Amino acid sequence: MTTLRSADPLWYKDAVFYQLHVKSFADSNADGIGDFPGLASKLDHLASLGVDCLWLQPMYPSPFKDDGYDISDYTSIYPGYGTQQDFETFLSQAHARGLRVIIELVLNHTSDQHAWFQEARSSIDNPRRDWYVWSDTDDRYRGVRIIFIDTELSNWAWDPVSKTYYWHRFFSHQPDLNYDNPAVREEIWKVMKFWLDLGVDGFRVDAVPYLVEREGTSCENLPETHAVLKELRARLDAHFTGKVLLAEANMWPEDVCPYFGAGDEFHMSFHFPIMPRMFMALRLEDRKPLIDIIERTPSIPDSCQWGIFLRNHDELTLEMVTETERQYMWDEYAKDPRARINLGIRRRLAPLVDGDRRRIELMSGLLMSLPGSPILYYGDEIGMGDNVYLGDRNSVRTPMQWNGGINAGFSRADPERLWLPLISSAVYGYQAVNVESQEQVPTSLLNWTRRLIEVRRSTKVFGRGSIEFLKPDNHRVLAFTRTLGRDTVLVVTNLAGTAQVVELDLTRLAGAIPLEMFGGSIFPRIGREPYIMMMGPYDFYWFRLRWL
Amino acid sequence: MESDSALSDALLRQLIAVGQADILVGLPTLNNAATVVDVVRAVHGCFTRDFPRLRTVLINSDAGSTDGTPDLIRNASFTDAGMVQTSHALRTIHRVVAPYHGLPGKLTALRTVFAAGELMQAKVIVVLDPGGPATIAERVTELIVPIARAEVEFLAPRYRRHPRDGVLITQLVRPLVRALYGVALDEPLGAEFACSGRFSSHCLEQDIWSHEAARFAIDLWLRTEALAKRFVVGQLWRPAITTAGARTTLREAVRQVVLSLVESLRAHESYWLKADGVAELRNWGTDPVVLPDAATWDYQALGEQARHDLLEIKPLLEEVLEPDLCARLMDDGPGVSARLDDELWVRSVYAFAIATRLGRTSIEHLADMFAPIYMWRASAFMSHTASDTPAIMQEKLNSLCETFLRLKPALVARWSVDM
Repeated sequence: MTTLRSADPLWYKDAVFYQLHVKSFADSNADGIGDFPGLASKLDHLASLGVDCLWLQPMYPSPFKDDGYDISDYTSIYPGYGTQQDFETFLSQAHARGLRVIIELVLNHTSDQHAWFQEARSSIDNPRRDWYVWSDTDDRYRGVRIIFIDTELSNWAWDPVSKTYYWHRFFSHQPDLNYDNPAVREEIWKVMKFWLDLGVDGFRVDAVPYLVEREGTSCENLPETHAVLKELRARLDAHFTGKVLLAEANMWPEDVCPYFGAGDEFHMSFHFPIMPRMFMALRLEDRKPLIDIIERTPSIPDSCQWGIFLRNHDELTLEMVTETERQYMWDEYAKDPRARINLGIRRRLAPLVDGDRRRIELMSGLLMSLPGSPILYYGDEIGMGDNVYLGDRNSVRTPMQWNGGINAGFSRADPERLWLPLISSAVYGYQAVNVESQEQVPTSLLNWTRRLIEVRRSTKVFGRGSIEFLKPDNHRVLAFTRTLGRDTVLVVTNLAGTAQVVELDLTRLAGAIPLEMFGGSIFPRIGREPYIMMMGPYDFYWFRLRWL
Repeated sequence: MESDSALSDALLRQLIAVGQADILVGLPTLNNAATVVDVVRAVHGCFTRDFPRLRTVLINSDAGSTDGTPDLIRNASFTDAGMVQTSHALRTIHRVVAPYHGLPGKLTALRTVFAAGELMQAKVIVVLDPGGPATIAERVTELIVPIARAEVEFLAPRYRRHPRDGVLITQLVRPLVRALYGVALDEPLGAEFACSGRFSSHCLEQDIWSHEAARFAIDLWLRTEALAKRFVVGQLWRPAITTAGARTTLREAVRQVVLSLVESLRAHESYWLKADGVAELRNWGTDPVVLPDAATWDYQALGEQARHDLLEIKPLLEEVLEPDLCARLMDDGPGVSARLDDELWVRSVYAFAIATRLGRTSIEHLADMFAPIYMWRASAFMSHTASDTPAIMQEKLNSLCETFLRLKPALVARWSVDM
């Protein structure tokens, strides 16, 4: 029976999301790979953490040349993760705990191992030939940028079978689907409906700007692409309620906004540029980068929401920063060149802030209080570390650390069989950093994170409220109000590692009594004089303002 | 700013020092020097003996006493000379004494207590009557425990009354609230109660605190609001009382009660129009069983007064009531031997309720016109039950409740016409 935490169709506006890899979460059959029965066995942990929705990374059959984003069958479960029955059992058990589940939908491309592509390449007369984008030459769509510049020289790849070129915006083993073909659009809708009928609560839609190609354009964000997405959304709305489509479009917010349409395209989209600026503001001890990007962010339709995050399965992307900013971030957060990959940094939250609990809390506090729905990355709730010696971005995809026993409680397999080695450093190793030990300590990061989420959930203002910056003279202090109807929360954050005093002009809030939201302490009534606060290093306060 | 707030800066400073509280006991006072020290000692005894680990606070909200009540509270020693102290507080016991802002009265005092509870995030809020029964620790504790255990969200005292006592309650308020709200609430009025922080927060959010009528209506409104908004309501047996809380003239008391009832009926019409039957409430404490002595009062003089007043306002009644009801009332002839039977009484009550709904005459004016009818009914009931045993009288009171319930559909039908 479904007992979801909110029946509101706009639930995603208030939700806290939790991103995880099935293969890294819990292994039930001792083969070294996480699976759905294992994940189901850990649902109590997720429910007690207080999150609302799980975002599962790809769970489909795949040759795994791109961490599962190279899908070879859209309507099956990768056998290593279990059966479809295992998935359905997990889904019903998640719903029974009030947890929603969204899954990946890779629209732009398939694996070159997918049967559709195998058929398409087999003959130019094959009915599925036109499901992909082919060319006799590799000079169509000239000038379109190459995304994976480290590995790809062209967006065209030669197919030795059909002796023609095929279009791919990502890796050459990921041929792009041809969305000009109605049959492709119909088939993708069937895929969505298949999972929605099983009960999934939505999709994180991968790489959305690249669906349609047109000569003479960048082949990104084209009106034809929006038309495809709107068509899918309309079919979703016609058949289901309370589902969510979350767009991945790593672009400036003003460029992402069209993906919300008039509330008729995506429900949510990631806000990529805000993430590096949180880290930048922290290291600079200056609120400027954050205020700049938020003030630059256009308003979006009421039914839509940003998704914000500190870390995820990819690198800490520095695409949406200037060259000066990127170099600063690399110098400050990736002194070890092995931490750098593509245009980013392959590290987890805790190592990025030197394992400093105060800075982890500050960053988590920002994540939970800025506009948007926060997305936690698995393991960050206990301060897991990373391993930059692993290839690609596997540094941040290591097995979840459940306890200090064999294989961190992740698996009963021989340690050599684990799909990735555990973190075993002296500082972040699973013997020191794990769920079980943190459960036993009331002041642990895990319990603190639970409390943080609980406090966020005590009001809808964080998910739905407006934001107004206060801009006191002290630039080390970020202060803003979030307002929704009669509910106002004042957030004051000391970005500096030193004690600070700040004078806040709260004249427009005169008469309000600040009530500190974590401890419940009452602060003096706000008057017409500057409100003076003294703050310790990296302190942050959330005050609920009460007019009583 | 401070002038717009339920909390003065002086009170707020004290609340900042106290911080969060688990249990808040509010003590609204106005010239209660004679009894208040015993109540303060009882509260302190309750805190130290029964809740030593919890964060507790007593907040006195004084309406401007001239008899030194706040000083007595502030300076009250926690033990009297002959008392052996057997328990010691683990925590600082907080006593906050502050005059309140705004119009004097229960409404302002309660808003101050609720606002303080909101800021302190109190889980249990108890409001005591400084002249009430909470003069020993046990009587404070028993108000706290059911709320603290989350067994109930609003706890209303109930008393073992003699059937001849509390006539305004037994003839009007109790049967009307039972019939309309569908709940067997014994004492819809009363100064004491306990509630959860959730209920207190809910009340603060409601648009009641600026209503003029709410100045008199707040006790009844709290109870009916809890029922209408489906908070879990329970009752607690308290020591037997006689004419508790009777501090005004009868005519003024009737006026205030009528204004209270109208305020609640208007606020909760979406609930009571649909309410059906009468549900029992869970009870805490022990029924004292032994009946207190009957109140003695001159019902013949009351009847005479009612007869005189009714004849005087007959033209006004004819404007407000339907002709046949008015004729029956006057034909029955108010007098010493007259008998305003249950049915006629209930129809009259409902007719006045409809008159308030129609709005042709001010509610205050209607309340004044209703007073002599009530006095007549009270006198007639007392007269005709003078020789009855308490048990027979109680049966007649129960029968009256049934009549209110039986005739409710007619009220609902009339009330709904203009909705």
